Amino acid sequence: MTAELPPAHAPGAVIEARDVTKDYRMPGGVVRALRGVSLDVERGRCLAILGPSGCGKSTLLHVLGGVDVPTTGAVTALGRRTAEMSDAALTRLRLRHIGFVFQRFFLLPMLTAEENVLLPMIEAGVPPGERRARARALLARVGLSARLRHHPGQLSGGEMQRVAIARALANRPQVLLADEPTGELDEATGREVGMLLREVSTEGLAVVVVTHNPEIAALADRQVRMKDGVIT
Amino acid sequence: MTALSFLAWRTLRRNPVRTALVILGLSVTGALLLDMTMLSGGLQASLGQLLSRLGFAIRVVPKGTLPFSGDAEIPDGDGLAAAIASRPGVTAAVPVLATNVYVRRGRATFASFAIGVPRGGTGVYGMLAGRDLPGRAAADPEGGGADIPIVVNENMVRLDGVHVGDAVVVSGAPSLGITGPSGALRARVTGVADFYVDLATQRSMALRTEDLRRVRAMAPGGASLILVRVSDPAQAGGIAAWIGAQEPRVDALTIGRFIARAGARLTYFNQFAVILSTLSLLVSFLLVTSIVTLSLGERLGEIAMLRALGMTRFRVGALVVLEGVVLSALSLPGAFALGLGLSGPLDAILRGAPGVPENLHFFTFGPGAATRTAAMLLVTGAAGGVYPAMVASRLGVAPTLHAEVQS
Repeated sequence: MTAELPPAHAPGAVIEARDVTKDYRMPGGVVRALRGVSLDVERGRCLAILGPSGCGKSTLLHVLGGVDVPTTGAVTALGRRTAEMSDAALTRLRLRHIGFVFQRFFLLPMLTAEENVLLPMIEAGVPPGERRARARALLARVGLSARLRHHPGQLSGGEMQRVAIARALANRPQVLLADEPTGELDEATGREVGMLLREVSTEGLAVVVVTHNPEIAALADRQVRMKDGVIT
Repeated sequence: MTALSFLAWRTLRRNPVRTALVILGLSVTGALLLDMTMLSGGLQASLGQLLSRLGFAIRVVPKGTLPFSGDAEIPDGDGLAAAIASRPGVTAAVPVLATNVYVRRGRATFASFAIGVPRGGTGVYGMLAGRDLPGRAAADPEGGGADIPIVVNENMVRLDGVHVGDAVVVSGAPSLGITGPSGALRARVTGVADFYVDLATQRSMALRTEDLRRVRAMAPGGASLILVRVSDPAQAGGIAAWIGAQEPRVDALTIGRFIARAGARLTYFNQFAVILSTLSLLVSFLLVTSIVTLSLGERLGEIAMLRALGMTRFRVGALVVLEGVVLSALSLPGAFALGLGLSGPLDAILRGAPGVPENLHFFTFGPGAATRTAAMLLVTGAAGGVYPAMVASRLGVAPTLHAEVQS
């Protein structure tokens, strides 16, 4: 798997989308969520995708991250076309090279903050000693050293999202995809999370943030706007 | 797998009351399963223990019968016993005559099962009080006297007030008086014994074979059963085959063959156990499937997140199956406690049925029953998790994440 990938921190796009469409079969007929989107996601840069609800932002993020595959067109993630990859290969790609942050955090409520961060590393087979040290370092980095043993229910929204960011970074991905990461946070907390994502991109990761908040988008290196499934 | 087990355990702890109720339900169905597993092989196991306790490896019976199951006799049983006793590897061959007699004590008359044992033979009972039949010990010179000696069982003591030293009349018919050397004889109770194959309220007695023949006016030589003791139990099969070849009118049953023949007559217990076990497993399966499916429906977003983070379809499915297995595993202590607690009263009910020997048990607990029950419950737990596991592993990640945000 690693042999197929470009060297870390190489210049250029880590994910390329070319003329991507995405259709969903719905009871009322086929809905075209993406209509010929082309986009490059570059290492070390933060990209914000802006647009109103239902414009296709999240669909684009899912297609870029290998959670979904395009109906037509091509997405090349880390050198491989996702439409040609098996489900298992896409799963491995996500596990080792792509981190996700969700609007609703999706932290497992029965696990502590530390255990939530450990989870992707357990899946990736990181040795126990190393993963524990890495989890603590990541939680320290997002300012939650004192919250290791806390469960999500004992954390604020901003703290939960920071745990989710630490979890997304656990396997040292090359790409971090965040879907409305500030959607459930107040303005100040949302700004803190936005700053954190921006900071992560300066360390060489490609960061894509889907948002409808112009203030958060303004923190990115580059902004693209979407409307009705196309980049405007 | 350890990480998945941990995750499954934590998932179940999220809703402790619901999990506890399911475990309680599974414990009840598991208890029924344990009892039915104990019942399905319990009678045979108990019979095996009883037969082993008597110390005889082979029972020679009239062909096609079981011991004491009718009036059929082995012709020249004494001669066959002597021939068997002379074979190398055989340490004893005891011809036993069994029939029904009547006992009169004062004005009361009651029926009793009577076992005739030869001089120097080994009985099918153990002494509880008083003395054994004179002459049963090989060197016992006593044996004479006006009254014939008898040993009675505890039921006769309890139900009829017969005690050691009492004089009774033993006869072959209910209304006969003392008529001479045959038909009815005065007898003296010398001891009280535990007869190993007694029914629950059965009156039994033992007396010397020649005395029993006189009471019933029976021809000499016949035997209802020949008990054979061997020096090496491993040779029992070979010796039984040799006996069968010597006398085609008999069956020489090793303990294993005896249990198989008796078991064939008790198939309805097995059928009963199989039906109730199947129902118990079905209810367990439905309980696990329902609760795991319900739980899964409440956390589809989390499952989609796990898939998005890189958990494979197989591992997601395995996680859900493990939840079913953990539920079943947690129900095992309750199932065993409840099952064992219930088996006593159930055993007492079945043993109270007519024709059931006192020392036989229907519900026999052992490592085999425990292992089978645990294995069936765990497999059922896993099977119960299969449907929700398929739902989880086939979950569309992107639509689910989208739906979660929309909701």
